[in-house]
Amino acid sequence: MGPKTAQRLALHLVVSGKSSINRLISSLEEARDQIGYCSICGNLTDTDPCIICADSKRDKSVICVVGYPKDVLAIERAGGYQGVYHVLHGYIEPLKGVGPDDIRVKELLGRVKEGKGEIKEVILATNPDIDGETTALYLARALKPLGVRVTRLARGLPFGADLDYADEVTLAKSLEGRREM
Amino acid sequence: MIISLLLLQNFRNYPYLQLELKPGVSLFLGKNAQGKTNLLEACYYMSTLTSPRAEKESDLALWGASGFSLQGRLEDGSSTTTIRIDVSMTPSLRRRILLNDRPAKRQDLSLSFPCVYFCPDDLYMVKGSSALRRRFMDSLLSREDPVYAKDLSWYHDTVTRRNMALKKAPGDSSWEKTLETLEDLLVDTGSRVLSKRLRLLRSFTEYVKEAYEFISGGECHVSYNSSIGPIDEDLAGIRETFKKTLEKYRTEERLRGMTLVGPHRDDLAIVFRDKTFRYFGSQGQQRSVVLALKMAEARSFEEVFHTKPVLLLDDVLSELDDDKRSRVLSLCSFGYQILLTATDFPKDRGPGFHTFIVKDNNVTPL
Ligand SMILES: Nc1ncnc2c1ncn2[C@@H]1O[C@H](COP(=O)(O)OP(=O)(O)O)[C@@H](O)[C@H]1O
Ligand SMILES: [Mg+2]
Ligand SMILES: [Zn+2]
Repeated sequence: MGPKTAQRLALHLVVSGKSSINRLISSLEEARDQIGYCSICGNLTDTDPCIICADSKRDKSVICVVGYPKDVLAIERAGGYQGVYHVLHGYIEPLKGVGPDDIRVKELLGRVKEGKGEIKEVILATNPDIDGETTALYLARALKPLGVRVTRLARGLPFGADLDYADEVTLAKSLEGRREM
Repeated sequence: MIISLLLLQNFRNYPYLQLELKPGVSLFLGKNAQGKTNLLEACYYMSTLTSPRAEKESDLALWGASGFSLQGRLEDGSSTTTIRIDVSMTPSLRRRILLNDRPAKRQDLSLSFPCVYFCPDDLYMVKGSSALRRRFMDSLLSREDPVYAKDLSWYHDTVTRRNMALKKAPGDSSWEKTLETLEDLLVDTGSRVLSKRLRLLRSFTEYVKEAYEFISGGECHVSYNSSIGPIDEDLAGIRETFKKTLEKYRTEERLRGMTLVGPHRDDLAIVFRDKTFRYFGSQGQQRSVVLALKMAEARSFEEVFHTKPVLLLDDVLSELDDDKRSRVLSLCSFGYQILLTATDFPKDRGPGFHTFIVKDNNVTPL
């Protein structure tokens, strides 16, 4: 939520009195209590596993790796992707002291190892900026010895643009045209 | 090519200024702080979207204005191109680039309006630190080749990240692996940067030599000095040398938490071969060599863009002796348009010399 929206919301709440504020607080609390992370893919969800991981029609042999939950939303919105996800909850960002152990890298490697050959392809859909690229290269190095096909989104994305800003057509094309790493 | 019309709106001290320019030399004459440099700065900004002296766009807008606009008409033989750049600062920085009234990208600008800028501070290129000589090469190559600009910026970003990882790596296996990853990126981008610098030097060395001879009659040689050891422009060879050198510095880099070798540590070496050889050369030699470097830059642009760039000479004539001054001004007879600022009339003005008086936010032809 941007600062303008927040301000408008706050104004509205002040005007509409105490009971509506209490109602808002309790529904926010409810949301907080019910929403957690999917134990398989790490995406935000109110059920475990999440509806994508639980969907029998989704292709479990393809995992698309993204930085944040918002990226899952962006790819789902673009449509066409049938596989499942893995959310890292961050990138390797040396300048912020964030290393591979601080994001969900181990969980991804564990998933691929435990899949015992069922997982055929991992698509690295990290941002095309330097930290996204570092993270993708790191993962490619770690995944390849596990005998899985590792691909990267095609460079259709505007340079340096965040994944969730990419428009839907570009994103879908970028997924189609992914390349071997 | 030449710029035949320049229009400034809310740029620096000019609320509105329209200026017709001709081929040859245009001299902007005026006392200090009248807005002479601002005119050259406007041209340079139209060519590069950067200023040789301001850090940010907000310095370029007339005080109190929320943006500025620059327009130019360029003529190259029989073809005419118009450039328009609108910059607004509120709510956030926005630039609109129009070439012939159609939206265009930054890299299209140097292609249609290549400029070479030369000011007294450029003297530090010879006597100052290697960073200034690297910046000269990088600025030249970035304008000729947008891919170079991208590789260079990734390379610098990788160096800062790698320096951090070098501090964290000892005794930490996952940071150690991160370091390996960053090293791949470093070698990838750094080698491409190096290869292009060396390819530039292949012709550039000759350009500098010729220009230096033209200006001073002396001999001068520039060469690339790489911190990773002797290399030529072959990419595969550079990669191998780069990796080997990093291996050699492995312990020391971890100890110091710094990337000690690579294009960010290299230099452009300048050697004079005049009789009066000295380490940095005399003042006169230094001036001549900076001039030669700038002329070589112009030659290089000419080669790449297939047109002669406009030469923007800010306050440099007064520093040269009569002989060198007339040689510089004679460049216009080779087809270069020269825009020049000065506080005094230069002695030798040839034909094709147009003077403008710069005073009280106004520029009037003499
Ligand atoms: N953003 C600005 N808005 C208005 N005036 C400016 C701005 N920046 C610089 N100036 C004015 O421009 C003049 C300096 O112009 P400059 O081109 O550097 O002078 P010179 O003729 O010495 O080369 C000074 O008078 C300064 O006050
Ligand atoms: Mg000046
Ligand atoms: Zn899930």
